Amino acid sequence: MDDDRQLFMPTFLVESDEGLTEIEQALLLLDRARSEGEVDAAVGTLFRAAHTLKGNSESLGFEAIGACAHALEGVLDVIRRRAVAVTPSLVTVLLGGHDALRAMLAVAAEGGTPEVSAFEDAIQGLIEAAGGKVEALPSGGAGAADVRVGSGETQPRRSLRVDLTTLDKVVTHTGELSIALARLRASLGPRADALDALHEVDRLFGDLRDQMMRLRLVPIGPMLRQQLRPIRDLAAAHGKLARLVVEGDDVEVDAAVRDGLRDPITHMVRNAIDHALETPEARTSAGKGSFGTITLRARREAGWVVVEVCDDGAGFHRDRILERALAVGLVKEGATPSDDDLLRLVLEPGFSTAQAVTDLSGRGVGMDVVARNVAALKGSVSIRSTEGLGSIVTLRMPLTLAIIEGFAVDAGSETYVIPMESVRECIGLGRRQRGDSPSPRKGVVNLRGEPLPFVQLSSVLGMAASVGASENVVVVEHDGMRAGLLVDALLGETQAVVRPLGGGLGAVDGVAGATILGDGRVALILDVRAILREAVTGGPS
Amino acid sequence: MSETTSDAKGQYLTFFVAHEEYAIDVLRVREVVGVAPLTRVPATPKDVRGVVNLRGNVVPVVDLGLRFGSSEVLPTRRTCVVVVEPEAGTDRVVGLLVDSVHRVVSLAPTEVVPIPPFGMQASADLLAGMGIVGTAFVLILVPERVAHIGDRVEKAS
Repeated sequence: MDDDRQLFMPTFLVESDEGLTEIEQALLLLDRARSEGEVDAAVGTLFRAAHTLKGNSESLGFEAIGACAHALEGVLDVIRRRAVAVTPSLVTVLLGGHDALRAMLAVAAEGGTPEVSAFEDAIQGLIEAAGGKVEALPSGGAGAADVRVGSGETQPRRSLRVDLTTLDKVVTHTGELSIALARLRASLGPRADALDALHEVDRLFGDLRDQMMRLRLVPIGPMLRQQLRPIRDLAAAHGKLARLVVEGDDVEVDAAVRDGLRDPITHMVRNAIDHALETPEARTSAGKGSFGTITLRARREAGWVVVEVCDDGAGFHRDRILERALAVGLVKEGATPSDDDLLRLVLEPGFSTAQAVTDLSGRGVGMDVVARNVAALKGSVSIRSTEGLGSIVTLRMPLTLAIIEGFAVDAGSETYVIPMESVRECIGLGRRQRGDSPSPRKGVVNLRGEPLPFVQLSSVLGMAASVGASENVVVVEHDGMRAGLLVDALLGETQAVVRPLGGGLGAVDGVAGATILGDGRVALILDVRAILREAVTGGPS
Repeated sequence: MSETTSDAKGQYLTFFVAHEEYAIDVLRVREVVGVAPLTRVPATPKDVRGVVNLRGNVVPVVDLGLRFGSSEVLPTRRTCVVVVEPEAGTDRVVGLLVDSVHRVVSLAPTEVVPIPPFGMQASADLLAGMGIVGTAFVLILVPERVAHIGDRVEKAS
C-alpha cells in the first residue's frame, strides 16, 4: 500500500487539489443558487468531485479524508432529497468541510497521514448538518461566504486558453516584423543615433519572439500522467497489477505534437497491459515482482522529442509474430527474418498479434495505426523487445515550431545550425593534420590523445564544397558516438526557431528542419544523428 | 481535353521562362515576390533551387527553367518568384522561379485550345492547354504538376 501511495501521490495531490477547487466553486454557486435547477446542478458537481476524492483517498489509505468526504456527501444527499433547505449557515458548514479536506491534503502532501481526531469538529459538523441540525454560527451567513469568494479566486492558476490558429497568425506576423526590421536596418546606413534605437528595438523584438515561441510549448507530463487512470482500470479488469512511472514530465513540446502523441500513447499503454504484462502469478513464477511497471519516458534529443513506452512484461513473442506475418503474407514460407526485421513487421498495415479480439486493443487495430499516426506528425516508431523481459517502443517526433539552442556554422556557401545538445567543443585543424588538401573530405584528428574521425560537412551533405581552406572542426556527439564536422567558419551560439521545410519537401536526410537567421536568410538545422550515420555508412570517399 | 477546357475560364497570370510565355490560374497565385537569398537543401531534385524565407515560412523554390528542361533561370532585375498554392484548400505553398512576370489575361473557354503534339519546351503533362491572346499563344500550366516536388535524389558524389 505504501508503495502504491508513493507512486500515485503526485497525481493524487494534483487531482485532489483540482477537485477541491471545483468543490469550493460549486459551493459558492450553491450559496447563490436561486432556483431548484441551480441547486441541483451545483449539488451534482459537488457529488462527483466529493465522490472521486473519497475513492482516491481511500484507495491510498487516507481514511480521514475519505471520512470527511463521506460526511460531505451525506449533507449533499439530504440537500438533493430536499430534506434540508440551503441556507448560508449550511453552506458555511460545507465550506468548513472543504477547508478541513484542504488541511488534510496539506498534511498528506507533507508525507504524513491526517488523523480523523484532528478534524473531528468539521466532520461532526457535517454529520450533524446531514441530520438537519445546523448551528447558526455567529460568524456565519452570507458574509462569510462572500469572504470565501475572494480567497477562492486566488486559487486557480492564472492561465488563458488561446486558439492555436490565432497563435500561429501572431507568430507569422512576428516573422514579417523581423524581415521589415532587417530591411530597415539595411536602409538606415551609417546613422549612429537611429542605429542605436534600432538596436534596442532588435533586442526587445528578440525577447518578444522568444516568449511568443514559448507560448506554444507545453510540458508533456500532464498528458503522460493521464495514462494513470486507464492503467489502473484496465489492469484491474484483467486481474493484473500495474504501476506507472513517468520520467521527464517537464520536457516541453509543441502543443500540436503533444496532442498528436496522445492517442498513440494511450493505445500503446493499452497494448502493454493487454498483451505484454503477465498475470501476477505468471510474473511471480517467472521471478519478477507481481507488479508490472509501465514507464513513459520523455526526453529532448537534438531537435527531436523522444518518448519511450517501456514495459517489463513478456515482450513480443517471436513465434507468434512470425506466424501472423506468414498468415498475412508479409513473410515468405521458410524465411527466417532477424528479430529486428520481425519487429518492424508489427508496424506494417494490417498487422496485429492479438490472438483473440479483445475489448482493449484488438479489433485489428494495432501498432500499425500507431506508426501511421506518428508518421503523420513526421515522426518515427521503433521497437526493441526481449522475450520474457519486456519491450520498449520509441517514438521520435520533430520539435516543430519550437526553439532550440543551436550553434551556427558556415560550410560551402551555406549557413547551418547544429543543435547545441550535440555540440561538445570546437577545435582548430592545423596544417599538419590537414595534409596537402586545403579542405580534406575526411580524416582523423588528434583530440587530446584520442583519435577523432572528422568529415567535411558539405561533402557529407552532398553539397558543393568550399573553395577556401576549412580550418574548424565542430566536435559533435550522438548516442555515445563522437565525430568532427569540418566547417569553414564558426558563427557562434544562436537561438533557432525551428520551422518545418515547407511546400512538400518532406523529410530530408540529415536535416531536422529550418530556421530563419537574423538577416532573413533560411538556415538548415542539422540532424546530427543522420549525419553521423551517413558518415559511418559511407558515401563517397 | 474537354475537362481542361471547362477549367480554363477566368484570369491567368502570365510570365516568361526562356522566352516562352506561360500562364497560371490567378486563383492559385498567392503573390509575386523578388528573389530572396536561396538556401540550398541537400538531396533534393535538381530543379528545386532551395528554400526561401517567405515572411517567416520556409518555402521551396522550383526553377521553371530547369523544370521545363532548358537552362537555369539566371538572376536579372526582372527575375522573380511566383508564389503559388498548387492545391486548393491546402497550406502547401511553393515558389516558382521565373525570368519575368508579364501580365494578367482573361481567357474564355473558346480561347483555349489543346496543346499541339510537339513543339513545346515544357513536357506535355505540365500543360493544360494553349491560350490564344490576340496573336500570341500562352502555355497554360497545371499548377499541381508544375509545383510538384519530386522524390528525393541520391546525393551527388
